[in-house]
Amino acid sequence: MSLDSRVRSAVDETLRGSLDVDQGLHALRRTRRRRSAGRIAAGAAVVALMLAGVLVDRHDSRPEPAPTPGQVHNGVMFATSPGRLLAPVIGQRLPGVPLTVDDAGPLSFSADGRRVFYAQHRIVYASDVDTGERTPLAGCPDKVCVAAVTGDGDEVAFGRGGRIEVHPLSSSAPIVDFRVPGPVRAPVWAPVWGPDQRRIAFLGGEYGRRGPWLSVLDTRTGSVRRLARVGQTSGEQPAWSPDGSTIAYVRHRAGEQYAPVELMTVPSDGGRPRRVHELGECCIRDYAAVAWSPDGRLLAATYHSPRSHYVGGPVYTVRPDGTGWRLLLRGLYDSRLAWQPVLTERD
Amino acid sequence: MQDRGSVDAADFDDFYRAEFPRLIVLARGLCTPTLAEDVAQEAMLVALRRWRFVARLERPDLWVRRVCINLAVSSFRRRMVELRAVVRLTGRSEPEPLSDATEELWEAVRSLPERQAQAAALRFAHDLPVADIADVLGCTEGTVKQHLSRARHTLGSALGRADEGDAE
Repeated sequence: MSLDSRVRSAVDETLRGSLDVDQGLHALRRTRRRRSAGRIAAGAAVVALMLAGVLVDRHDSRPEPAPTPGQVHNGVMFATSPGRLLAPVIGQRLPGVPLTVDDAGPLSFSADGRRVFYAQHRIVYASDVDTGERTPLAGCPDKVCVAAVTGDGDEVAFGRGGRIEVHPLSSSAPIVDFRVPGPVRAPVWAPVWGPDQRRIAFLGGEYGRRGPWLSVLDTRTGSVRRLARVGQTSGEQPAWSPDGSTIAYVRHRAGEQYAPVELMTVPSDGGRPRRVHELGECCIRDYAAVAWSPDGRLLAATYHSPRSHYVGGPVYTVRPDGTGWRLLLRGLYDSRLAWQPVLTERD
Repeated sequence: MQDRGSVDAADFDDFYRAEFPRLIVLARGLCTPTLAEDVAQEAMLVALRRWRFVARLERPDLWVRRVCINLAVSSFRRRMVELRAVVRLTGRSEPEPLSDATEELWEAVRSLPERQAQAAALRFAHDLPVADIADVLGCTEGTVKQHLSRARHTLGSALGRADEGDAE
C-alpha cells in the first residue's frame, strides 16, 4: 500500500471513530457556558474590589500636580474585564459609563470628556458621564457592530465588509461610502477616528499570512494610506495620540509559533513603525488593548499572558518612547481600554 | 431587530459541523489520541469565544486550524488541555483505539520534527494546497514544500515503504 492510500485509509478511519459532531457541539456550548459564568464571576469580583476602593499596586500614589489651566488632563480610565464588564482602572465609576458594551463597537470619550460613546445590542449611544443620560446615535447596520464615533459625536463610521460608511448624525448630509483597497471579502475592523475628526485608523485590506494592515482613511479625500502590518491580529483597536501625529497599535509578530505581541507606534501620515515595548507571548485566547493618555505622555496596555490560566491581565503604562514600563493595576482586563480627557478652564 | 446571538450561533454551528471532524484528524497527527479531541474542541472553543471576529475573516477555517496547531504544540497550553482531559475522562473509558496501521501512521507523523508534522497533518487531514498550509503555518510556500517532501521521505522510511508518490 502506498503512503497516500495508507493516509487516506487512516484519515477515513479516524473520521469514523471521531466524537459525534452534535454531541461535541453540545459539549462545547456547555463548556462555554461554564467558563463564561466563571469569567463573569471573576469580572464581578474585580468590579466589586474596584468599587470597594481596594486598588492594588497603583504604580504612582503621589498626588497629581495641580492642573494647568487650558490644558487636557487624564481622567478616569476604564477597561473591559472578562465577561465584557467595564471596570474602572483609574478613578471611580462614572454614572454615564455602562456596565457592558458590544465588544466590536465603539468605546471612546468625546473630545471634551463629557460623554462616552459605546454600542449596546447594536445601537450606538452617547452617554453623559455625569448624569448618565443616554442618547441613541445610530443603529448598527450589520449584526456585528464595527463602529467609531467622532470626538464631537457628529459622525459615526461603520465598518461594513471591505468598506467604511460614514453617517452624519447632526446634519442631513448623505452617507458617504468608502471602499477600502484589498480583497472584497477582507473586513474592515477596529475603526477609530483621529482627533482631527477627519481621518479614521482601521485594520483591514487583507487577512493573509502576515495579517491585515493598519491603515488610515482620509474622509475628505477618500484616500487610504497603509501604515503597517499588524500580524495575526485579534482585531485590537489602534489608539491615536492626542495630537493626531502618531498611532499606537498592537502587532502580533507574524509567522512565529509563539508570536510575541508588541506595542508599536507609527506616524499617522506614514513612516517607520517603532516598537515601544514587547508585551510577551500572547494572545491565542484573548485580546490585547492599548490606549493613549489624553495628555499624550503615556500609553496604557493590557494583555493576557498564555502562561496565565486566567483570562485577562494587568494594565501597564509606558512612555511613548518605550521608557518607564510599569504595572498600573493588577487584575483581569482584556480587549478594551478608554481614557477620559479632562479639560480645565482657562484663566 | 434581528437577534444577533441566534444568527451568530447558527453560523457557528454550521462552521463547527463542517470543520470539527477534520480538526480532530489534524490534532491526531500532532498529539496523543487521548488529547486530540480535547485539543480540537479547545480550538473550537476559542473560535466560539471570538466568533464575531472569526466569522468576518476570509478563511475562518484556516484560522481555527492555526489555533488547533498552536494548542497542540504549545507545551503549556497542551498541559492545560491535558488537565481538563484527565478530569473529563475520569469515570469514563479512553477513546476507542483505532487499528494498528492507523495508530502507527499517526505515531509516525507525531514523531516528525514539529514543523514537518504540522505541514503533514494539515495536508493529510484537510488535503490543503501548499499555499493554504503556508498561510496557516506562517511561512513561505517553498518552506512548506520542503517540509512536506522531507515528511514524506521520513514517513516512507519509518513505515517501511519507499513511497514513490507525488512528493511536492
